[in-house]
Amino acid sequence: MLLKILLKNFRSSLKDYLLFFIHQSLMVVIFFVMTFFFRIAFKVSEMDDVSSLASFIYTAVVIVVIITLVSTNMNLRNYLMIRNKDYDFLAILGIRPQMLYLLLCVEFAMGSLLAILVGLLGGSFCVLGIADLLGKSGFQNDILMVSIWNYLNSSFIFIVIVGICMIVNCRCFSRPGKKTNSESAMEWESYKAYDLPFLLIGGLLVIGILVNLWFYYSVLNSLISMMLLVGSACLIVFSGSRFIFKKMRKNKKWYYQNLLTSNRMMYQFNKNKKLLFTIFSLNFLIFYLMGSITASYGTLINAEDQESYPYDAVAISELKMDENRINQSGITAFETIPILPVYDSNDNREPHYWGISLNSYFKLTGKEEALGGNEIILISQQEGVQNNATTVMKRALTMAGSSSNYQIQKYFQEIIFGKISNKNLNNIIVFSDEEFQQQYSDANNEMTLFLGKISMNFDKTAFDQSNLLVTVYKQDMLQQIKNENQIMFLIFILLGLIMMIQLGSSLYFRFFTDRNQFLADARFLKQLGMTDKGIKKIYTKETAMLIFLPIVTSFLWSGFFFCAEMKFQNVAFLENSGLFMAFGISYFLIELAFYKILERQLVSHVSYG
Amino acid sequence: MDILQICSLKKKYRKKISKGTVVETVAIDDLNFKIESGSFISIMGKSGCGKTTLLKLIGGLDTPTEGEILYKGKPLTKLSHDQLAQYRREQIGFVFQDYNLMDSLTIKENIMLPMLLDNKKLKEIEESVMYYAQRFGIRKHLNKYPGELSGGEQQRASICRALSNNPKLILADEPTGNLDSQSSKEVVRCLKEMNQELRKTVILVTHDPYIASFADEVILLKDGMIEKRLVNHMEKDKFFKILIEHLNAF
Repeated sequence: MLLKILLKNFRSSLKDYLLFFIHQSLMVVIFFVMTFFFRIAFKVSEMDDVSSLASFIYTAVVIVVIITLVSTNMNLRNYLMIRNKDYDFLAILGIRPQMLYLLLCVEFAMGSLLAILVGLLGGSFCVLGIADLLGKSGFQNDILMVSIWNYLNSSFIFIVIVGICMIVNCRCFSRPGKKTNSESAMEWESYKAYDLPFLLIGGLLVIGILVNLWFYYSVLNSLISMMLLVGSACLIVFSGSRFIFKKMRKNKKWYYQNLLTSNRMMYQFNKNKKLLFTIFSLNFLIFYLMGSITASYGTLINAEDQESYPYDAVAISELKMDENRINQSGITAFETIPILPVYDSNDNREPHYWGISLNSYFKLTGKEEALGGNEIILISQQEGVQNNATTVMKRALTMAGSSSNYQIQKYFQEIIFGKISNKNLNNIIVFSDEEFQQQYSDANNEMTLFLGKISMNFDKTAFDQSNLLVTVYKQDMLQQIKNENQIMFLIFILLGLIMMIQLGSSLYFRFFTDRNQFLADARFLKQLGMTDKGIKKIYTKETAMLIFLPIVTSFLWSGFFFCAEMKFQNVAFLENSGLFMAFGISYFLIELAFYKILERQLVSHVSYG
Repeated sequence: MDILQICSLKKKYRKKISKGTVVETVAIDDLNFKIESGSFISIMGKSGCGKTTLLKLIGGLDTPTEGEILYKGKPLTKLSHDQLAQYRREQIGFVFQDYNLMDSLTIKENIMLPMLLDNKKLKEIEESVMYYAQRFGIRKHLNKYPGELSGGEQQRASICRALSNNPKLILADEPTGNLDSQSSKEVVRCLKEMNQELRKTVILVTHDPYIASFADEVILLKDGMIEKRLVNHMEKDKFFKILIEHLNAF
């Protein structure tokens, strides 16, 4: 009998709750595309040992899984909340809460299965398009094939995610009558004592993070800092808004003149703080990641227009090697720069600085005026934590050869050609020619930096045996970098898309769940004699706040952090910001359209409901 | 002097139940009566007889299908949306079964709301709030939120809000529906007080004959039409008994 009720109810109400399942389908589409990229990453890492692309895609898949989990959980929770009201009669008739929950879960599972089928179909079409695009960019066809495992993996993971969400929500559903969304209006008052301290703590945290990054920049440090920044930003925005609001509240005239608007906005802000926090964090990630990839991609595009630097290969040898041996390896020695490892007294395993002669420095930078005898000139501080010169040099060269940070290749170019100013120079000591000669002849572990040209038909075996640590093939590498960047760009778009879907759906579901409350409030205000125009104004402001407050603050915040990081990395973001601006503008336009749709729906619901 | 005239009032609702099938429900059917200024009218009847619809029409929250409602001789149907809003703001005070207080506002702010919407001066607003809060015994609760008050206290706050803008007409829709007998008595006492001492016209919709017996006149509605009008010329208990008899025969 229950099954009959269930099936009949599901069929009749599917139309009303279709949006929940469309959302699920979109998640499956993105999931499916991600498994496709995952497979590419797997294939690429089989072919190439140093594939930063693979590790990047792995990370992206993890992010997608987490977002899908959060999103599905939110989706399910909203669905349960609304459907629970529809099934209230069963609870009154005496059905056990567990049974009711099971009933709703089966209903949701049925919808999700439908969503998986639609999602896989949609995903297949998307993948066809992407494969075609990548195929044109030079990717081999066998990498771009979709296998049955893509279908199975994406379906399986999605089913597991839905299952986890059902288990998670089971606990809060076992207490019938408990409103999941109930928020006390008085909560604002109870935090009275903490706003200013929270604001100060948030501010100090930001200063601390920036100081930390300034002195100890590293990727890990940057990631941790980013997370801390999101937290501190929330602290500042949340306590700051309340602090400002309370200050304004003291101005009775202003407060009472704007009583309804300000009070309702404060109430919504407080009620939806978790949602606002999620939107803020996701937006922060979207802007930050997009800034990062578009800056990198933009640099790549700009690099093609710039005058190429004259060396096609840059190599560093472990030992002092004669030029003949280098020539045998395929590099036509064009310029050799002897470099001298300088050890820290505490750590003799790795050189702390690289020493170069005054003459070499002049060759590299074209600058003479900054040098004076044994004056220390610092170049490159990429791994600030260890302050370790070998890592610095290896990293700079390795990264230059890989795609993950094209900025560093550019940076290395700049080191070589002295485009960066003296204040940013780190880790290279310039000796006077005489002293360098003396130390270089005494040292037993000299190294040489080769800047040279490589012939197209060089002997690869001889090259591999030449003990060169790193090589950069400019022309070939540029194409590879372009390909990898293209995939990364697509993945970033996909990540941005999934985050946007998550943002849109969570906001929409919140409005959808609260629509009757909105209607009741509007009726009440109408009875008090408020004009329709006045009511619409209040709801327009509320909707705008819920959508734009987290977006604008996260945009400013991520922009601030991104610019600071670019500054630390000595990368001119603004020069390569065209793509980011295009992305940013389209993102805002989409959000604006979403806002208009939501606002129109809400206003028409409260006007004609 | 008549504050309200109901002339040949009709209200029909049309509901589409399936494709091409529209069902018409008559909520109010050719209603005619007048209400004198300063009177206390109670409207009674079974569920679905059109009590709340009538109140909505009088309050300008809904428009009649036919007929007219004249407030102080002026037809409500001729008023624009904004004029109707102004009419509700200045002339009408609503009291509801579920109090309709905003959870996010304090009691004081809830009472202030109609006056703030009317752009009155802050000093005047605060004086009015204090006066009514004192009068209806909720002064000590002014800075509390609705959730912190009992049902009776919330309803008294809602009465204060209805009176705050000094309206001429009070429309009360089942104000005691959610209250226990003690709180109900308190609320009716408040309604009676504002009728007798503040000279407000009160239209009260109720199911409870005891509450209705406080009124000067009871209008019994059936199927959207007036079934009986009972005028209260006697003691309350006597009138209550007569009311019960009529309701039993109803």
